Amino acid sequence: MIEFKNVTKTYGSIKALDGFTTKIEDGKIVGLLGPNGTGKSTSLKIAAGLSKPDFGSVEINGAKPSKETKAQVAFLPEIDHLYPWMTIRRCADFISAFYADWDWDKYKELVEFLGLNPSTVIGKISKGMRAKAKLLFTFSRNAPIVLLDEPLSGIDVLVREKIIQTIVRDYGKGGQTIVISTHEISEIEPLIEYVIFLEDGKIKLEGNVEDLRFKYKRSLVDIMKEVYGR
Amino acid sequence: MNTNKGRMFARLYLKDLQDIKMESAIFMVSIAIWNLFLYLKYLSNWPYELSLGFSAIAFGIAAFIPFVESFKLLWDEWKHNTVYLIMSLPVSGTMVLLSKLAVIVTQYMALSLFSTACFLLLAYATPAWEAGWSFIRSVITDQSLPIKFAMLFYASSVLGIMYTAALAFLSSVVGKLARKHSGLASFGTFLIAGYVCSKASDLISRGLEKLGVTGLYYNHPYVLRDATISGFPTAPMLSLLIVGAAVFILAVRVYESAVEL
Repeated sequence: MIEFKNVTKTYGSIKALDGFTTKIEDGKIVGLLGPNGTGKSTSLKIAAGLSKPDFGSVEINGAKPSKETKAQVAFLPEIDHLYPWMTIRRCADFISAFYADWDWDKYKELVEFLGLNPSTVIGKISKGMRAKAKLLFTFSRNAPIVLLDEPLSGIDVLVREKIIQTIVRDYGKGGQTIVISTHEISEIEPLIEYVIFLEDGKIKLEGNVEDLRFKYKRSLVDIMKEVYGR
Repeated sequence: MNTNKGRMFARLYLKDLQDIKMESAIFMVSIAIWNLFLYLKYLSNWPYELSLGFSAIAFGIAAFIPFVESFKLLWDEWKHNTVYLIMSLPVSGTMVLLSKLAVIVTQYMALSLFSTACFLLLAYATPAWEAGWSFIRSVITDQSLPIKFAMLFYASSVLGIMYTAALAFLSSVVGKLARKHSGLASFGTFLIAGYVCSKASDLISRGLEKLGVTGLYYNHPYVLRDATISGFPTAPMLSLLIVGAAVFILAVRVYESAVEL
């Protein structure tokens, strides 16, 4: 379980998170939704241990973010964070040394499924292929918690479909907790079970997707439009 | 998957080693060509002393490149956004910075030993070799003195590289705390920390000498026949090690507790 307790984080004069409090239960796919600059990435970075709250706390299965919790978390940032001079295989060799939950069989299956060539140099492939490579390294682990920061950002439709298929495919097998931050809700709507809408670093609305759909009698996309007054 | 600290350290070390491989290779090839050029100049009636003097320039470059690299290794993690990958790994800041320090020392040893080998080859190919040894044998009693001196000098230089790399790491991570002008913040930190550390090192060295640790000495240079040299480890070497370790620990503390993305 990931628990945010009254988390506040500011960057200069900008309040990225403002008293953010929520519990993300195990085994669910959770959507962290909202327009740009609402604190989605910040909350994921704090959970991944890359950033620290100014006030409040975050707990991953009851422990504060540390190298022990990092071993349980697979984090996919929005930006390209892989060594551009490495080949996909070399990068897999590098990352696999750090995680007990790395699964080489899964890696091989995913390489095939995503249509990647292990001998390709990461810096020389297209943005879509790099997005797939990032996903490959994230889902080649059987990490209990997966944090995906804007996994569909700037990716063409065909690659998006592949990414979504990968998430669903893995979730079905492993029962991981997956948190997806995005502002592009329509494509992930069928995936998510629980949703948190953020605005100005605060929760605007949260709940089970089915309950919300029932309550508002409309799709998540339409609920989002209403929540943000658009 | 089997994970252990040794394997993790090895992967971090090899990753950074791969990163600096090309520039180290370019330097080595350049030095080899430079020494070949100096040898050809000697054959065309240049004084061999001049060729050897120019060859010795490589020693300075062999120390300068790892110094620059100790900044670059950390800065590149931010430049390529790979710091997101490094900081999400389940390893301590000590392991991350220690692997980079090991790479810097490896690079220095490879470059300095290669430069020395080229220098000695050039000396061997000229009258300098025989003339130098004849001179040394004629003026000193202890024939092993040049070897002892070279070892002491080399050990000190390795410690010096470790110390400056630790300072570079500290300056880099402090620079990354600044929202603006992080390069300037790093430079300022390097100068201030360098000054404070040199004073601290001096004080510690004198303190160690008072405690009976051998000081660095090489007796009167004008009486070479009776020259002797201090043994290992000397007080300045120990003080450099102590101050370098303190700076490294501080850099790790800042990296772990204050650096954020």
